[in-house]
Amino acid sequence: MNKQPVQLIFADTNHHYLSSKTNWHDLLALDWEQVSYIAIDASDIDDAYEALLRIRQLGSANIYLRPLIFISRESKELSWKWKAADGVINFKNEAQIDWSFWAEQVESYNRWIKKLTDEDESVDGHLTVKILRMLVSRNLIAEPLATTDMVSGFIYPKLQPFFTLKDMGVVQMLAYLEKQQLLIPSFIDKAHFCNHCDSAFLNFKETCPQCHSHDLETLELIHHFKCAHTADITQFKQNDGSLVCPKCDQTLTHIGVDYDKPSTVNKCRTCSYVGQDSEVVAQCYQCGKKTNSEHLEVRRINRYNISSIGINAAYYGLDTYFTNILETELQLLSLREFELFTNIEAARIERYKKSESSLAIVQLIELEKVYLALGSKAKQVFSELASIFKAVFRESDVITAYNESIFAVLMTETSKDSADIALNRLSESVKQLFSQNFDSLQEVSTKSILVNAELDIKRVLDNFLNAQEN
Amino acid sequence: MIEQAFSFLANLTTAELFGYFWPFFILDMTRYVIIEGLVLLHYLPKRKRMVSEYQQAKQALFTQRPLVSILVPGKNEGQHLPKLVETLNRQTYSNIELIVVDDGSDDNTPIICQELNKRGLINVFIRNEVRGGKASAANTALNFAKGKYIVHIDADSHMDNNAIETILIPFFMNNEVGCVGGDVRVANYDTSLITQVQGVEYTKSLMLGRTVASQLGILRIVSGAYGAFRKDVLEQIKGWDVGPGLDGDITLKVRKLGYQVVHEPASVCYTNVPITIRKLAKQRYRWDKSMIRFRLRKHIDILKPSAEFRWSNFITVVDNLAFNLFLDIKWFIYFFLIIQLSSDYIVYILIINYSLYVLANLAQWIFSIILQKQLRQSPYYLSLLFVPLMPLYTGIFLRFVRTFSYIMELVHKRSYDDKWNPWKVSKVAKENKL
Repeated sequence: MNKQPVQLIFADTNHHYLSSKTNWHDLLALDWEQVSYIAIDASDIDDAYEALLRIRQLGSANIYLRPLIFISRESKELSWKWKAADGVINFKNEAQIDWSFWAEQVESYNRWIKKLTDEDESVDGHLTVKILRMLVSRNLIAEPLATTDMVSGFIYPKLQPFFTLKDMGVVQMLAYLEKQQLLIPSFIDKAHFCNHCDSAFLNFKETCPQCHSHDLETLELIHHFKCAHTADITQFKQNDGSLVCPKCDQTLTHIGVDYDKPSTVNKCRTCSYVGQDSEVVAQCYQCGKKTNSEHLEVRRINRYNISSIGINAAYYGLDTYFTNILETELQLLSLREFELFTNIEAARIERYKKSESSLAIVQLIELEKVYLALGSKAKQVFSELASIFKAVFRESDVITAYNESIFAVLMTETSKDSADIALNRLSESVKQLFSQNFDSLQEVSTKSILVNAELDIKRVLDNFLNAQEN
Repeated sequence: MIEQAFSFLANLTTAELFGYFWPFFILDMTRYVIIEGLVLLHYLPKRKRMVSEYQQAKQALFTQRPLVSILVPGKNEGQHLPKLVETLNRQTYSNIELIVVDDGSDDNTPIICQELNKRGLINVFIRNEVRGGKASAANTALNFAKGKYIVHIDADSHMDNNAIETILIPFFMNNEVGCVGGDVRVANYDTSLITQVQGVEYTKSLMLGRTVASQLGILRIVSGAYGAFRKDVLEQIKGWDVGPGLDGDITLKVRKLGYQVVHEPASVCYTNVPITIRKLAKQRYRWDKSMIRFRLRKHIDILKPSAEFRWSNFITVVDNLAFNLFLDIKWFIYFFLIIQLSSDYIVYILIINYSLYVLANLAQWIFSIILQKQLRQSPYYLSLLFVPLMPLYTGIFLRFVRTFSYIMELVHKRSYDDKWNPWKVSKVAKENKL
């Protein structure tokens, strides 16, 4: 088991071990429609989760949606990572595992995947679509789980593996889908997040409004009715815990009868400030930055059910603004059409050997945040972006969207150097658009490669995505 | 009638004159005109002679620059605070900290105070959600005071620019001074006839009367509206006790420790006084009850021989009891005698008495004008117009309120029902016979 952490379980044979030498490229080449589920050795849950992560982040629905089952000798499932899988098989003797039981359990998932993959996969790589598909295929309710493992403090275990470090957080993504009416929220909790790094791990401190020190002492005031002496409780408290008035030496008996506590005060041990005001500051455990509590990001943590629109979008794809606009402006092709064009071009170049063409890949990093930041105004920004694409690429170039932020362009009759020049121009224009109009940075990641007969578009795009994540 | 009255007066022999008008000649004229006039005659040149000592004390004050804590306890006083803060910012002596205690206000006072606090105009702001009464609020403020000297001031007051400087100087002129009374004047003088009459009363009784009492060493009260204390003295007496009349009470406590209590007429504070006769009556009813409660009950030990007995304290209390409590009875005896012995001349006697008291008040008014001129202050000369009303005001109205108040306190101990204290505090005070 340890040598073969990932096993593919086929519905017909029930069991198939991959060789320890099997690499990811070989995995991609398998006939996934035959795979019932993937069993992952979870004797080390971190390794198992890593394997699950890689599968979930692939582009093909046939793979990333495939049921994933952890198998383990231990029955302890303390970490949220155990919940990331579709199921867990605990066993004492490996030979006794009933592989077919789980094949039956996940059969409905596979039927849904089969039905989906028979349709067009042009928007397959969209993270939003992947999330929706995961929820619909499993008829899943996205349940948040409080955890200290993630800086966000909450996790949706089954959805988390779809996210890379560069993606927006799960909480924000689900909120975005909620805004699009694709998900129906029900309130679970509310949480404060660091507005610098999005961490939920915050140390709330009362600080002195004068010197901002958090070395504050909060003291109750005591008012003794008989002699009107009013001072902080330390002046009354005796070693045995009783309260004796320092002015008249009388023992205080009952609150409300012979004394009361009119208020509390904060004493700053640093600057001697005394008052009842204090500033509540949250210091982030992650980035260490301090933020006034009033300026923290407050988000609702919801449980999510998929809406009927969401079910539809999971099946037919999400009509994202930017890809939609690009589709209109630049006649965006589906990934399948793009692959076809690229293969024809590769064959042409191979045959005549007179010219060269390039494949350009463009990633607009964290483009999803523009949706969140600008709402309906995002459409104008995306029109501007589309204009840049239109200006940089020629009419003879062919463009596809791998997901909502990664685009592949077949630049015909263009050398790699010329492609790089064009990509640089595109990067600069995009950055300029954001810096001049929105006072923010839009990171652009690009890559160009020469088109040849060996070119496998999906693999190149998957590798590009993996490289960006690492 | 007036002509006949004065004809009656002109025909009186000296013996008859004293016989008919003995309360005026023997008691009031002696106490309030002759003694005050003589003391003033002594005080004014003395103050001039002491200019160099005064300057030295001032120099010492500005050299040492001790921190002065201004305590402002109060309930629903927020509207007045901006003006007070403004006058504090204009003070010639600037090493001060302002401590405001909101004693359970139910208006926008906390919001105003928090805003002033944020702007750095209040150094310490304590909001007591549960009301504890004036003494408790003052003690709360005292607890957080860091100053060497404490100035207690009412929130609805404001001060002359040199008020803090001048109220501190007596401490630097005499180490034995434990507390200094500031001179309280009427801020809302022009509001009504009642406030104008009180304006005359304040300059006559508070400024002149307390200056004289201070010179005689028998000053019995440092006004709660504006007074300064040495912090170490306040710590010895452990702050204020439950009121009403806590200002008079604390003054006696300071005196009992052997410290001198002085009045500084050059340090002027302006306070809002009642604007209607009903409100004025209520205010004086409260004040007068405390005379019985504190002089006659709580501090009666001053009159008894003991190790701590001091003649000055004895005379202070006797003067207070004699001229306020016992001489109230004198008027009933006087009128009874007049009616019995001279019922034919009763109208003449009343007219002449009134005239004599107008003259006495005029003399006191002149004294107060002289004192203010010497202090380079600007007197209200037009207040002379209200002097003829003063016998009615002090002799009849205030006397009636005072007498009623004494009776209510002696018989019913009504000071324990004072609405300025929370009922639970009053209940405990009454149970403990404080």
